[in-house]
Amino acid sequence: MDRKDFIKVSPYRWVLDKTKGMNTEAEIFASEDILEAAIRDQSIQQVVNVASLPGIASRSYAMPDIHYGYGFSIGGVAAFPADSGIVLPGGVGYDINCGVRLLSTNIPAQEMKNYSDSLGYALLNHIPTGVNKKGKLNLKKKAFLKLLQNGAREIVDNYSNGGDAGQLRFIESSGQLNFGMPEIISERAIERGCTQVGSLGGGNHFIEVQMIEKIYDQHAAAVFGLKKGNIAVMIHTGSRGFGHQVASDFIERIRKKNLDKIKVKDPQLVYAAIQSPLGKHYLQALNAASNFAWANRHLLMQEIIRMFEGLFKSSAQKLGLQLVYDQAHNIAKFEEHLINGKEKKVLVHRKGATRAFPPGHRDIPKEYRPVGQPVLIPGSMGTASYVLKGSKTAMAISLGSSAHGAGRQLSRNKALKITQGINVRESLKSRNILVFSHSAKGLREEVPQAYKDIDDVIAVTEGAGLSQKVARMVPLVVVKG
Amino acid sequence: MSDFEVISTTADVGIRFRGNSYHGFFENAAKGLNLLYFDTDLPSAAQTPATVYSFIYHGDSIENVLVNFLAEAVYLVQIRELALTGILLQDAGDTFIDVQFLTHPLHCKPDIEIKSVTYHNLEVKRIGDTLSTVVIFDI
Repeated sequence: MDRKDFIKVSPYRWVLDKTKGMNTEAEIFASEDILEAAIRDQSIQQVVNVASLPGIASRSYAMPDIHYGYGFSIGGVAAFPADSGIVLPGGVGYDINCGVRLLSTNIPAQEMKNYSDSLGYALLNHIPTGVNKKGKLNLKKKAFLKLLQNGAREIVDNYSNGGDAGQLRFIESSGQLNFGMPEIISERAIERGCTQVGSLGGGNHFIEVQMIEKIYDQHAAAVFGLKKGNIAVMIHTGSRGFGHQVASDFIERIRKKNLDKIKVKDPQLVYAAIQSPLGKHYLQALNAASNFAWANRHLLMQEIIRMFEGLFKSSAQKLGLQLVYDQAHNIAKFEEHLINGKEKKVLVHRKGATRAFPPGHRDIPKEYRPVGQPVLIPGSMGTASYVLKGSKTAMAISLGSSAHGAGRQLSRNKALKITQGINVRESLKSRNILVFSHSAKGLREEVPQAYKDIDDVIAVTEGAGLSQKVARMVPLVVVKG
Repeated sequence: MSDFEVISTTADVGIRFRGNSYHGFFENAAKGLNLLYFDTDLPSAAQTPATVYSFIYHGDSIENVLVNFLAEAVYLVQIRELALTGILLQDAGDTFIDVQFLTHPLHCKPDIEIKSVTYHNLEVKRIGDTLSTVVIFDI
């Protein structure tokens, strides 16, 4: 496959027509460079594999941060009819409801100078970060199952300093999806999850204190509560070992069930009928893991708020600490979309892709309906992050989907090679970015050069019409998992 | 090629290993996993007796058995916080394994957190008695 196999529909839209084995077209939102890279790393082949799945209701899409994954590419989006289609764990990922949460404040960035060090150390020491760390909560099974049912609401209702229920509407799906089948969750998944609520995890998970450096859309920024020069806080984490185990359990179960019946190009693309018992069970387990992730991020947010209050000796209210939005970037959800000119209920899989609903959509908070859903796209360590807003174009061309981040371009080994002898922490400090982590090796693996240029990804995302820039943030304090 | 080594993909990591018997194959899988976690081979026998964890699995293919063997090893290291110090293979074939993991308490944290053992491009190759493969982990 190469560049000439694609039809360039517009500067950032490339379509691969149905060829042998494909049931629909593949559509990539990319610059020429991103497309070439995706062809080289074979993530395009993964988009084609998804296009070959039975009953696919939409095109097989790839967002501008496309790169190689398991099953779907990262940045992959596809929909299947809710009544007759299929569901794929490989279309969600192992870290179910990995996602991003953003808080705004009314703290000017220059006030952080006296607090950055203390805050960084406090976050590192107080928030469980890194490999296999136990969370803030160690729950018994009954309490854990309740959390899996109630999601973020469980933190609000049952934990001291759990925050205000009014915040929940600023979480995608209000931080809770329907879950009523605790018996389908394995004991191993429960064992992994019940000690990890309130933990950040490792790898590319982070907490960042950022300065809002630039506003592109004054009106939308005002609606979202973002002001140039103020501090924002971003959290990136997911469903931890619980979600990983759930995903593994169901890939195994679906694989075994369909061993002789279904031939898939990639064993990570095993699928079950949405309306089959196994399909329903996976979707229930997905909801449980999603609820875990929302509860996890909600608890971490409350902990961070407490730290700010302690440090600044002021209240969250006076500091203007507000939840802007929380969104998933590894999930499958039932949504209504226009498919071949008709409104249809479909199961939209987004793996390393975010929802980007337009102004007026009923599924976004009413406060945001005049401007559209916030779309949170973090950069890599030491680089900018962005807030964008969803668009009508995205609903029309990408099932209301957008990019989710920068995507790796260097392996961990290569990142370690190019940073040999370099003190990454000092290097970032020279750029006024304080980094806190328990792992020096981990920091080297996560250097900015290991990731694609976030500004390029954002330019393509906006250029393709998937979402529109609202604000750009730069990191001041980074706590890495 | 050495009997086991760590490999790196753009997004994740894996292990490449081989063995001239089922025992060698699974032992080198465990050694590769240890190398990934701790940058070291399976440690030599500790002075205290090992705690033994038995694992029996019946699958549908050697790839399926291997994924579940490694998933169990990951569980022991990450969740039970144990160091793998050896394996005793009671019996194994293309669709089953009966093995004992020898473990000791962990004294240092693993370098990475494995989300899952994947089936990504997983195929166990055979040349004569030698089995070899590459397993990719989502980290």
